[in-house]
Amino acid sequence: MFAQIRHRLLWMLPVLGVISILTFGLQKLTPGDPVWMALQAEGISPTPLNTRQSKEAYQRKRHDLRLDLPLFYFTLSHQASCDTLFRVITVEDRTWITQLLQETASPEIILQFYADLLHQEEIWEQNPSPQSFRFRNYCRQIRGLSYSSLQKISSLFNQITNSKVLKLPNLPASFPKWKFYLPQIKWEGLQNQYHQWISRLLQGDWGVSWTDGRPVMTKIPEALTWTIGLNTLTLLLAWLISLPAGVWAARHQGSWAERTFSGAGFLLYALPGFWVATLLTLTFANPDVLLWLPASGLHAMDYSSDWPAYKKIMDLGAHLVLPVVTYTYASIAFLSAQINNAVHQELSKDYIRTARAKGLPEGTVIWKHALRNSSLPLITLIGQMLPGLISGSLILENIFSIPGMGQLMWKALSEKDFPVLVACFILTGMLTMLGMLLADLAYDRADPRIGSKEKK
Amino acid sequence: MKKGIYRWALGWIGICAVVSILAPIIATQTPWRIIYNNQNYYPLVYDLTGWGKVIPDASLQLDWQQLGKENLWMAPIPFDPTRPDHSESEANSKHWLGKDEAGRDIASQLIHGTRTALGIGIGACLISVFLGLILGGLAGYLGDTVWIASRAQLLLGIFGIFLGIFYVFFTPFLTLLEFHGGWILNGFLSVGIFSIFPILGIKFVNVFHYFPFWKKTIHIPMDFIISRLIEIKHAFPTLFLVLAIMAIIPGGEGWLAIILGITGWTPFARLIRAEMLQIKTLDYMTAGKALGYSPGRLLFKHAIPNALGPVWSMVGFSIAGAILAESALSFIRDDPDQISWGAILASARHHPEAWGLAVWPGLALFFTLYAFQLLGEAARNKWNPRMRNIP
Repeated sequence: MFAQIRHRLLWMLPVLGVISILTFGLQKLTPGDPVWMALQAEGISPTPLNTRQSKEAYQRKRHDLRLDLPLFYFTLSHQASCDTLFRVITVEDRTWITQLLQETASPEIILQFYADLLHQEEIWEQNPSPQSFRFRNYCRQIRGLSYSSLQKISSLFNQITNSKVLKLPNLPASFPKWKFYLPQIKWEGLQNQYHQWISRLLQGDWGVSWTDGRPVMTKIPEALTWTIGLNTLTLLLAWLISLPAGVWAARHQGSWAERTFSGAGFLLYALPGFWVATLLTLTFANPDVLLWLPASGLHAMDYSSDWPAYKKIMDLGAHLVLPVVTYTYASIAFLSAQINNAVHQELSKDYIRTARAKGLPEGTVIWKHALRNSSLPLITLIGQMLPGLISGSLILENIFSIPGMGQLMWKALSEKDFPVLVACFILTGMLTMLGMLLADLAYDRADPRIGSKEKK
Repeated sequence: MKKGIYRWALGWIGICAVVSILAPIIATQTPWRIIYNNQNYYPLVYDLTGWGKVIPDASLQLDWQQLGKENLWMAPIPFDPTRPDHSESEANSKHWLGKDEAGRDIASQLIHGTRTALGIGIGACLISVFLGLILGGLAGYLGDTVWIASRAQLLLGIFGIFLGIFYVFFTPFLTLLEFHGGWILNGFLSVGIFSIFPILGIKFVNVFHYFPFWKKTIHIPMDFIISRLIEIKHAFPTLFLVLAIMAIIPGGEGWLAIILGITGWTPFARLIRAEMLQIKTLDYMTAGKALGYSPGRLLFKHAIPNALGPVWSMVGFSIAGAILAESALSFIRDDPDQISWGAILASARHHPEAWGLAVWPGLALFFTLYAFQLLGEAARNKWNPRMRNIP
């Protein structure tokens, strides 16, 4: 048993590693400049990089976030690419240079040109005058141009600015296209973004949210409490209702009452949750129809912490009615059908007839014998329900504005708040895998034959 | 009674399919036929196919109504789903189901939403089935011990995968990440290029086999690898994963179908894997092996076709799941430019007084989900009578 748990736990590590790489990849592929977002969280407004202070703040932040390092342990690219591209500071310049490289396939020329450009801009910046300001503006405007158009404007540009910025040699007659088709792999060592990021996470430094500057590890437990609390409540409620209902249906299978019940359950199961939520709020929380219940949130508008306890509970209860109803109705339909099916299969077996024949009370036959033996598929069900328990419901939490994991992740996604999002993904991944492990262990307990089969 | 309800389900899906195919014809602002200067023109045919005479007066395109009612043959729902109609006049034929806050016709949006829902549901399901069949089939059929490769084959296979990744994603002229026109062709080309290198690597290793070290064989644990893949997929909450991927890829319904398909293959893979574990032990497979059939032939011509039955029973549920996911996503994103049932439902939340906004798309969604689930149930009862009565 313990060997099996240890084996499973050990195999979770590489899987978690892959999950971390995937979340890291998602984060890197999403458009947007992380440096600006982090700066915004600190209250520094995203002006263009025209002042020395903002430039330095940007560079410092970029260094703090370890974005001035290569992405991964190794870099795969083609021969005509430039392996020091990550050192280029702004995102716009990086895309521009990549574009120029694709056009010319000559990294040396492009890098030389870019270095000259930066150097000249530096000189102009150090001698501020209306003229140099205008020249720097020109330099910003030529970013994004292709190599051939740069060549076309180069003489004019140099003449106006009285400099030699745009020294653009003609490309070699034979365009070195083959360079794009030769792979190049470079080992980067431990000084890379992924390694720095994951070692910070492993040391327990999950960073601060980019939207409000609060530590991620205080935001997530708050949300997790609500999600797990609400989901446990609804799951318990669903089991409490559907267990007797399912057993009743299994005992009366084939009767018209059972058929109606099962048909209604199937119908309920097909009702999309967010539609039901919308209809319920439009009916019971609508000043034009019925205003029995609050539409969303967890506390009344005039909520204060010095209310007496009964009032607080009443308030919370009123806010939870609609969410709990929408959360449970589908699970009740689903669970009672599953229980119905599982118990009914057992009821037709020989040992049940034996139990009845030897005069056991019907209650004992059903609840002790049939249910225990039909628990295997039900345990699988609980295992399947665990991920939803943790990650929360995207739609329902948003409709009812419950500050749980679903809403937290949705907000993080729409605001590109990566520290929060990454932590949510990794934590839910971890907890989901633990949940599946627990379900498997429960499986073994319920049916010892399964465990022994695996040991062999 | 049960038979009847399945027939209703099939009928509803049929209606939806016809409506979604005909959507651009039955719900459009462009008239079917106009009479202009005593001449017949067919603007809709011209718009859709380019056949026929050019409409002489370009200003007509902006407001067909100026021709007068008797010269216009309009579609039954004469409104585009996206174009707002701000006119208050009675000359407009009325909006059957009302307008939303931007003045767009709801009936037209519903009809075009059918197209979105069915297209995405069926497209995503096809992709899921395809991926699930291949990966689940490989996992179940090859197991952890069947595929034996030499060290050289493994090395060259990995090298080939590396080259495939390089040529598909890193060379600037053929990348999946460039979303210019003809992306289907681009995609096929990329998949072909990606798979040709590992296959070449595995097939042509004879030179290496002169060295005993490289000739040594190892088992490739396909089942293990694919089971871990499924585990990784399960560790991500699906809807959030889809949203995260959609932030990377420039939108569009086709892409949503692809993403939903790629995130929805695991149930199929698990099912096929379990089926395959069973089929592997059956007599006809042994007979095939004894006849000297190649593993590829055994897998694709004998094992997978026999595992297809239970797949059918899952297709209905998979389509329903994809449609639900699509409408839930457009509901939560609340993007006014999107034509989808979920988007109409989302606008109902801002307008509690307009009950039609909440009822009609919800009913359409509910009937469609119910129909697909009923069909799934019917198929499951056929293929797996043990599972009867489970939604």
